[in-house]
Amino acid sequence: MKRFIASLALALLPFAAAAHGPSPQKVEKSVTIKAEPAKVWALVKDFGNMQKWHPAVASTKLEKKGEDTFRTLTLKDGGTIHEKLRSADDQSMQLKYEIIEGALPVADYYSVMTVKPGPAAGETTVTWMGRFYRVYKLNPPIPAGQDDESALKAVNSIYDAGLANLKKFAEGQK
Amino acid sequence: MQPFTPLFASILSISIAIPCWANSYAYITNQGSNDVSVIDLQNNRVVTNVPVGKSPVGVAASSKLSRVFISNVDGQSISVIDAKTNKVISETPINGSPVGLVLSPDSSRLYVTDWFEDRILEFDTGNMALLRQVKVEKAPAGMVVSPDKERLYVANRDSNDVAMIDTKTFHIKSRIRVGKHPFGIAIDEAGDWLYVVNVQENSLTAINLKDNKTFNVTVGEHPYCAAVSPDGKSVYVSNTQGDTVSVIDTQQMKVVRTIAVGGFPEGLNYDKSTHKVYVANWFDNSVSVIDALTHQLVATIPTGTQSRAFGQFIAEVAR
Repeated sequence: MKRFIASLALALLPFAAAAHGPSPQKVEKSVTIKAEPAKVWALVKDFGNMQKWHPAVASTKLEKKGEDTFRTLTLKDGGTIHEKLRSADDQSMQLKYEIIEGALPVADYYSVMTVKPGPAAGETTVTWMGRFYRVYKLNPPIPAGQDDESALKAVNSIYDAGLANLKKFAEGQK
Repeated sequence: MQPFTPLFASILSISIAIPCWANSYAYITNQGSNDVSVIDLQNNRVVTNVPVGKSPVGVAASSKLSRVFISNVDGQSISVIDAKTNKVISETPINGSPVGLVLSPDSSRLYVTDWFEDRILEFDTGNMALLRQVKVEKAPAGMVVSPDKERLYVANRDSNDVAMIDTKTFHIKSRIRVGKHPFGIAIDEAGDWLYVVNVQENSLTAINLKDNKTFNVTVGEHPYCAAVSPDGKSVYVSNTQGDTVSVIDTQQMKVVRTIAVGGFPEGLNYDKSTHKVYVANWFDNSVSVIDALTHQLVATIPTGTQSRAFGQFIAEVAR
């Protein structure tokens, strides 16, 4: 995972006013955590502290601009990702956010993290969903690193590593 | 032998004219599973899944031809399905990325938007010969044709406007400014009102085509597509990030109901035969069915993966 993040382009990839291609990609991953839903939700909804549970994040800087909340994630292997919080709903235990620009080979990335009780008592299921497009915005042939596969690979590895560590961290917490 | 009376003869000819086994079907493009789910709208059952090209998105179903046209975005082609047999009868390669599809009212012409090359292609539906093309900036997406077949309206995602193309000359005659990032578009049966969905403004622009007056209606989060009821009194809009469908009363020009549907609802159509609104859920891999008379969600039909159904996806087919 660390090696993969290092191999990504470190330059910020700006999203040109959300112009994107026509085929959105989807990644959906889940993990079951032996911890109370309220505790897990507290970690997930803490938009300004992603470094607590995601192994690729070194630090998080929270910023408020008027009504909107943003965060800048500094990755351990260099590079940053700038994201906007869309909503954090305590009743549905759902966090929604989008990437404004950053060191990932994706465009127009929108994500939802959902925390649900179960399956067993004292357990919590976290589902992380992403919808995004590849970087390349013209007709094929598509340059390497800017295609659907690169986008999917990057997001899959972020979700896998993130959920695995969220589980470890939440279960280890007293 | 008794000669047929004129009355008897006319009754006989009327009963022969009605297709006894014609039924409405929905053709749902599944971008993820590269196929099209065919749903029988009398019982909401998936009849079959027809394999097409890579990443099918757009659909234009013709009752007249008993054919369904599919745009394969990543496969860069148009698949034609014979609706009587549910088999693909041809695949036409496109030198671009075909997304939006619309048929002329008589089904003789198929119009295709090429997302990256900013153009509209015109095909003869009989032999899928490419007839003409016109450059339309920028990132043309959804299209409708006026009922009098003279005007083709195109929503241009990256130029925030709708282009009106004269179907005779295939030139752009005018542009109407709408909101940010227009994607889906719908026209009422009379051809008096155009409805354009502005994805990045969470709104719908209603355009009166007689006097060009526009009205803006706020809907849900990140809306994509619109469908109009046959009487023109209601417009339905899919809100992809709200997982809802907004119901707009066109006389009041405001949302009167918000219905929870599946995850990431996109393409939606009003079925006249059942008075139901069918909406494809990209995230849930399903179709939500709304009763248009009660505005209740009445069924959820599992389809292929990443269902989109962008366009006119319902047709009446005698099988």
